Amino acid sequence: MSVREIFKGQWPRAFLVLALAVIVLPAGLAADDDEKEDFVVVKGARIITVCGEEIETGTIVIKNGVIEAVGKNVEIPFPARIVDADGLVVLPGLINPCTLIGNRAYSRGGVQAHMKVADDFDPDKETLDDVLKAGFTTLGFRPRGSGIPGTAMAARPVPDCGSDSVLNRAAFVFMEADSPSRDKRLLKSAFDTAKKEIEKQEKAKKEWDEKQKKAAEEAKKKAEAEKKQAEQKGEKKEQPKPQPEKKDKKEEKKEPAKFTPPPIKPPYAPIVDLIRKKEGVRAFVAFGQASDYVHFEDGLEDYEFDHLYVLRNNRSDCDLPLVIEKLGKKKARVVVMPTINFRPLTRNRFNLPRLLVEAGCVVALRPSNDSAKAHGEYLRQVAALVAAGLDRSVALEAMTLRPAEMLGISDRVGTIEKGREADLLFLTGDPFDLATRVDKVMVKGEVVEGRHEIQ
Amino acid sequence: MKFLTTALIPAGLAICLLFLTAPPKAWGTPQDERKRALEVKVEEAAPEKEEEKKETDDDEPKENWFAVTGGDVYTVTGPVLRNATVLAKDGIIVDLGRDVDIPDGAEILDATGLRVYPGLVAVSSSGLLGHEPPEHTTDLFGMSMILGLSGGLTTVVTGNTAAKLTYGTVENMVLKRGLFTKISYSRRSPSQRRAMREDLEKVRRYLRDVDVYELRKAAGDKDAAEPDKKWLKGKYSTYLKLLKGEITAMMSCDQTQDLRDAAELAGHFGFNLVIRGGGEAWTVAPELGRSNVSMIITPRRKIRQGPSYVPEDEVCEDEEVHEDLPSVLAAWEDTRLLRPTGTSPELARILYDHGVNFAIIPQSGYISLGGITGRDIATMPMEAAFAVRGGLPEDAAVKAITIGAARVLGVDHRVGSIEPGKDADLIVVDGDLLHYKTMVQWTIVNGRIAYDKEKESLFAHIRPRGKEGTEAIPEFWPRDFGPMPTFKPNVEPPAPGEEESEEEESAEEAESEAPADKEGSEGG
Repeated sequence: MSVREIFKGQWPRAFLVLALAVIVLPAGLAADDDEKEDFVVVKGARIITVCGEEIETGTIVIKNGVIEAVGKNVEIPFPARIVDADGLVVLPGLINPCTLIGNRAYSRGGVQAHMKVADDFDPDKETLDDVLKAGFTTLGFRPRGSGIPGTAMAARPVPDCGSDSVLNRAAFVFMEADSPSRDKRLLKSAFDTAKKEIEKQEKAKKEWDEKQKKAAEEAKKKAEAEKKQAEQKGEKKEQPKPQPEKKDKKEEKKEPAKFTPPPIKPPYAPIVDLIRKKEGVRAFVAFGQASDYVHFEDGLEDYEFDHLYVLRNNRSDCDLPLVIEKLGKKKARVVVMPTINFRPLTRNRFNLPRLLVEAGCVVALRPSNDSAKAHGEYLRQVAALVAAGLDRSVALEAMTLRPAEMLGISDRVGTIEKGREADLLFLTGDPFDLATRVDKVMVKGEVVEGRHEIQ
Repeated sequence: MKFLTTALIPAGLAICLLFLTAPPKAWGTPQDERKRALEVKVEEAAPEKEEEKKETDDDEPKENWFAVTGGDVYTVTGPVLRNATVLAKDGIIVDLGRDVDIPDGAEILDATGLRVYPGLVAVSSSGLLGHEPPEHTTDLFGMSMILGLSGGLTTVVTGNTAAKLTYGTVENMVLKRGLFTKISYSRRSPSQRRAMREDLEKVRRYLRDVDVYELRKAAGDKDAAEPDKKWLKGKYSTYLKLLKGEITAMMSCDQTQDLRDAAELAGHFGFNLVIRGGGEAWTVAPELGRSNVSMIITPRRKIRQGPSYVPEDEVCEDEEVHEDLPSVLAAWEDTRLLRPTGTSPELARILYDHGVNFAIIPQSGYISLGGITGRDIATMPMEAAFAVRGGLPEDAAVKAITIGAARVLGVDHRVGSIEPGKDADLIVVDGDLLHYKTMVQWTIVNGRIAYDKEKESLFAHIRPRGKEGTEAIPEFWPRDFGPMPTFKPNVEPPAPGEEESEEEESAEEAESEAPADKEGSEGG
């Protein structure tokens, strides 16, 4: 049906419709823009930006959920909703990089790296609500299970936000290395299989390339032979021949695009990406003992891939300091729990996060277990670490920016600066003061938890 | 062969010693021993050449030199070298003696006034390493591994594998897999015994046929037919390996008659046999010695004395013995029971006198953290010392937990004594190894310090090194927290968090006063 058929005999009416459209549309668009320009201004707070210096009494201007400006003297737009944060401390929303909390999905075993948490996410809204109340605005939901149970998701604990709450659908591949007798061979065999898959593809590509070469050579020979034939036969039959030749060439050119590598076994696809060092693909390796680390290194010493370690130091006795030197030399990225541990069978305490930082590791923190209670106590636990010698700014980074980097979402959250999404945590005092409580939590410029309402 | 023997003559005293002290029947295969001898020869004859090479090739990976200096070196297979140095390269002992040149960059351990022994070998243990395969399952920093090292152990057995206590690494952990093949030769099933003998006989006949065939073939006999070997499957293949000397058989028995029968079987067919238990072995030591059986014994173990069947022809009918016995036994009219039974503290001495190679293990193969101290694998020298109480010479007792045990396991070409060419598994102790007061100061595994008494918290406080009793205990592994910052007093009403801050402070105070207290445990 063409336009002509539709407006057959109705040209005046058609003209009217068009004219209306021309007049109304720009106006409508303009009106829409006005509505979208939604400003929220946080006033009077002490701002811990994490990326720069602290601002004693500053203002944050948020436009459509994204931070527009941060500073002492910032122009306040009009109209804007004002959040009065006088006497409060604002810092970026806390991030737990690796947790099971709030996800009721089934547990899996073996190598199932392709299974995504994002696909079978079953949120426990009440728990997530508690986590949000505790000040966590982003969680790395890891898959449940042993071996390589799947790929994790980074999302906000706001179930109502829908797909908007998901920050990274494939944040990391999770690997258990907690029990060498079970996991060492499993991980090694998984990587060996992935390597074989790569070799399979490379082999197919080689074979295909050789085929192409041969075909090209044959085509050349054919063409030469035909040319010779043509020369021999004379110039009479030249004209009709070039056409089929051209067609042949076109077909040949199309073929290269058709090469499809043999498919990789789906469970091993993310591991193949890891070995190929595909951007944005990384692995979290979880273990609890020094020995597990040595076994992990020994088992996968042939492979280089982007990975970081999730240390389970929540038991009081912990022998992880024995491998701190090795981790520090590698400048490893580690996720640790904010606990003061004991040297095995003694009452000698040590501050594992501090030792890791001093050795040269990049440290992120996470609550000491997957319960809402632990999330609530998190800030006070970190305060204990700071009291025991962990650098204050490092501790702040370890709660916000570092986990964001580890989840590959540091361009969206993790700091208070221009262009970051406004996931903010309002505290009644210094984050490392034990009397401090969460005042309110803001997600994408909207206060979702708290006792103060927007004016 | 001619070349070999002529080449070996200048190889030095150490090799002679090696051959002299080698077991009457080699436990490793003949090829192994030849290889070993050649290796030793190379290392003995050309240390200077090696050094020259080292100077020229800078690109090669760094060599790890390790030296223990100034100690009295108990080589076990040779003399005691006073104030000597043991030099190891990449985990292998390369030189030994008083005038050893230590290359630059070598890690030096000063053992002046201390004694250096080879690392102890436990022929049977459990819990020190993970299950098989140990290189996949071991807790490399585990407490039982540290306790084992603190007891001087360097080689232990897990399952059927001999492995080392390589603290913190899995490199060079496994020594030998498939140590023993368990066989049963029980008096209770005569049919099984008969079948076993028949099978062994069959395999032995086959081996003779093979020898005959090869001789005939070498002589150019065209009619020589190769013996059929299709039937050599399952148990027959095991028996074949056994008779060829490739594997070692293991049997558990205690009673005189069982031991005598086992010795007879091993002697008759000439295979390597290790007997575990051997409570009454002192009664049949001559037979065991003649048939070259090795024993794994526990001198402090006791077994119940009791009646056991003795064939008619061996019945003791000596009237005089009968008269000497206590009245209770004398009332027992069955004269077949009148024979030496039960265990004896002299067991080890009697076996030694009859040339039986034996290894000593404690009653418990675990590191047991309960029960009576000194009966588990962490105190193996105590068990050997008890054998000395029964009359065993002290050097033989040390051998029974080092080279003798290594021979039982078939790893004596690598561990069990301090000799050039062997693995650098050493222990540095502060006195006679068999003395109850002696403690292991350092344990070295593969030329690397795996245990240091002062650095582990287990025994550091007991007779610290240096000036006795005066020196403070050195700083332990967990570093200090540094000064604890004090919190500013809060204006707001106290919240539940306040309690925690108090707790922290009180814990800190408590720490400075007493090491263990309730607050400390709650703080974690």
